[in-house]
Amino acid sequence: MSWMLTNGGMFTELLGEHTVLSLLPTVIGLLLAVPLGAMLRGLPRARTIAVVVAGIVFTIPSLALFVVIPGLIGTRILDPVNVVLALSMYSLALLVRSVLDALDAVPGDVRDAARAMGYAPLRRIVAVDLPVAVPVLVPALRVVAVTNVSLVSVGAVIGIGGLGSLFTAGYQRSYPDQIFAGIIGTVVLALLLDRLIALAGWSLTRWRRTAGAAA
Amino acid sequence: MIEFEGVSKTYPDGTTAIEQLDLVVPSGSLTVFVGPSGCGKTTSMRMINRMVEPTTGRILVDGEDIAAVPTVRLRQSMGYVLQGAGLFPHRTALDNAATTLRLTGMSRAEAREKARDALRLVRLRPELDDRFPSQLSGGQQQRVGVARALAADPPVLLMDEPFSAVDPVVRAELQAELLHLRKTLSQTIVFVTHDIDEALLLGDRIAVFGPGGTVHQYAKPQTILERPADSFVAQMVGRDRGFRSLGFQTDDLPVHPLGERDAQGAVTAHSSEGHSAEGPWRLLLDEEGGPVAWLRGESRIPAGEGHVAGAGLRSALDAVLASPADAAVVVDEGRAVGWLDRNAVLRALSVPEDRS
Repeated sequence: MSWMLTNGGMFTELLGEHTVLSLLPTVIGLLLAVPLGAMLRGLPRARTIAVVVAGIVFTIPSLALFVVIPGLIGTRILDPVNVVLALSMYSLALLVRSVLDALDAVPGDVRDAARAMGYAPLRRIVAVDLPVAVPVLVPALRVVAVTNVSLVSVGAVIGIGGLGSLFTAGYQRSYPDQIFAGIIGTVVLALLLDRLIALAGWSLTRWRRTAGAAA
Repeated sequence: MIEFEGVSKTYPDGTTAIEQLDLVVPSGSLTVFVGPSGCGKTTSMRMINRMVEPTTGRILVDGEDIAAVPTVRLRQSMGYVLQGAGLFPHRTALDNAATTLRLTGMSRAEAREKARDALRLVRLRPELDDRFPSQLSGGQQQRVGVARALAADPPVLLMDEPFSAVDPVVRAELQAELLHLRKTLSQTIVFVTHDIDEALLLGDRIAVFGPGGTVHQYAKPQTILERPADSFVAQMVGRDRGFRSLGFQTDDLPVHPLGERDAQGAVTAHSSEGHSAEGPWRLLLDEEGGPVAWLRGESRIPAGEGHVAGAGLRSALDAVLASPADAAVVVDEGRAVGWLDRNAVLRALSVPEDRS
């Protein structure tokens, strides 16, 4: 605790960095997974391949990816882009499956009704399929966000890790206080992001909570 | 007018859903496609808005080949009511009903305004407008489904077993309202059902589909009952065919005026002939003039609903058979307005209508 009190400025700065490094890949992953998932639903073979590839991507150790990416795209080893890119890949890999599951969960008669009303395919996905899919998608998004918060810490080993750098620094100096500060910071951040996404999902699914009140 | 010209549908695995369908649905009619499941009736209907494409043949709507009309525009020009409503769960009743209007580019405010009118037309209570489908009963959901299909006032309305998912009481209510609605609507309606009674009740014309996607008979309900084209149609129509056909025969029977009310509030309703020693049956009326019971001496027999003038011979016969007297009550909006003579009804039955 004493470390956190005397180094408040540094802690806040690391917390900010950690937030950006974990949130940005979550958002990028979601923005890519939604159109990709919607597209793959109509292509059964591509879908099978994509799901397998996504599974493989997630087995690559994060540290290995952090180290390899600069060599592949020519960034500097200390560039935060490396971390963002790696975590975006993980997020995409996890979310594309969830988007597929969520779109599969849209009831057939709802989709049929939308087609019969005269929705063009793209408009139907945006206006009907996705809103109805939100309840299935939100839990996956929460898992991804929390996973990203924990994975950012690994970046500390290569020098970009937000609050994770408190672990490496505290460990080198045998200074438990600093390590605790890192743990508290990441846990609070993870919980906060998880709650925020749950809350956003809650406000988007008002239609679901009223079941049972039928007269 | 919707015309099927030599329409067939064969699936890649070789199954034939529809075999050489030639059929004309007249403008403004309510045409029912009826048949057992898997006989192509739904498939035929779904071809009209190109949810299914025919393998051969063509379909014309008001003379225009629909294959040349972009699917999205074609579907927007037709109302569609699904089995079990198929409402959008994330939209309120009002926004569901506004869907088709919004799709054609109308502003939200204007679409809601018209959607509200449509919901009133199908008699959804206004306080339910802002509810989500999960908060509505099956019957209420189906009303919203019909409102959604009607809101944009499309010239064609396609109804796919719309009332089969609700309980019998609600179904009868919705059927009665559809009949009522038709008096104010000009839509050409194609209605799919597996329930022959529903078909006979609602249809101006009925197409009876059989296995293999062929139409066995396409005719008015009365013709289907009186002269089924083959044994399949006769079997489809089922029991009491002759009795049910009476419902389509007009009852231009004389309605006799009721007598004066006596001290009990009862009136006489009888012909002068043949009374027992206890005197004639008298009909007790309530304050509004509705029939309550038949009275004679100590006997008191509930009067039932009576016969509504114009409801057909079946109703007239049922009313006289259910009455202990030689007469049946004729009611108008719940009030007794006269009586029918039992013998006159029986005589009407004994002379078959000219069926040539």
